[in-house]
Amino acid sequence: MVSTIVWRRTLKIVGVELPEAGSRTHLIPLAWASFLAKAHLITRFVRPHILYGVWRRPPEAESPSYLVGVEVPDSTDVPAGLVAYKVPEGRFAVLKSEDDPAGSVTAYELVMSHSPRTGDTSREALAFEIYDTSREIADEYDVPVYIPVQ
Amino acid sequence: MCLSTFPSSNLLLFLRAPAAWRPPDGTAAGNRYDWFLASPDLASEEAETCRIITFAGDDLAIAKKVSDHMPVMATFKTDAKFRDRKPN
Repeated sequence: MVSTIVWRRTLKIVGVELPEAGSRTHLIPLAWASFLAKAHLITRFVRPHILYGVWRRPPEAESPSYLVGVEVPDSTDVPAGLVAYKVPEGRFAVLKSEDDPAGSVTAYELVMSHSPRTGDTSREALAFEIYDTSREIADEYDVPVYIPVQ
Repeated sequence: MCLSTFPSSNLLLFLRAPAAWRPPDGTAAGNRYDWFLASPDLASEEAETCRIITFAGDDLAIAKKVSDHMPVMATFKTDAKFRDRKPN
């Protein structure tokens, strides 16, 4: 596991949301399949080859939700049937999982297990995974996971 | 679930939900069956299985929030060396 600290600007991610995903990770493939079927509804992209998996814990929810989507310009309207998350700008610890490109090592699990060995502490913001579809899915494929820190 | 091939057509993979199962929704077409568009060699050589994924209980309620379609999962033998494989 590799960890670095970076600054990321605000992201607007539009896609398909899976409620209570933290307790139902076995349904995450359904969210991916649903997003791929609805991706044509999105007509404006920032980087269309980059897919995001975003974790968010609504205040009233016991389990975090998960959004599969792409980044769109901030002024883009959200198509019917899709959901938008806005990831606030700030500092993120970047962890790279080189063991499981399929994503079963989720940001949520990493957040839960992350120790503040860098001296950084977590902050209330959204964590996200990045899937670069321009890269070949090979043994060395890794999934960077961005965890908000302060 | 069943997997069938139709060599004379490009519609090669056909799958059907089991008769005893009564889905609350349907596939993308709202039916109890769905089609895959695949090349003949993909269907006859690499294809292993395909099935409609079903959910029950609380999972079904969550799944319906995500999609009004039932997902179809197909598996293929991606690491085998078939006769149509071209060297890099």
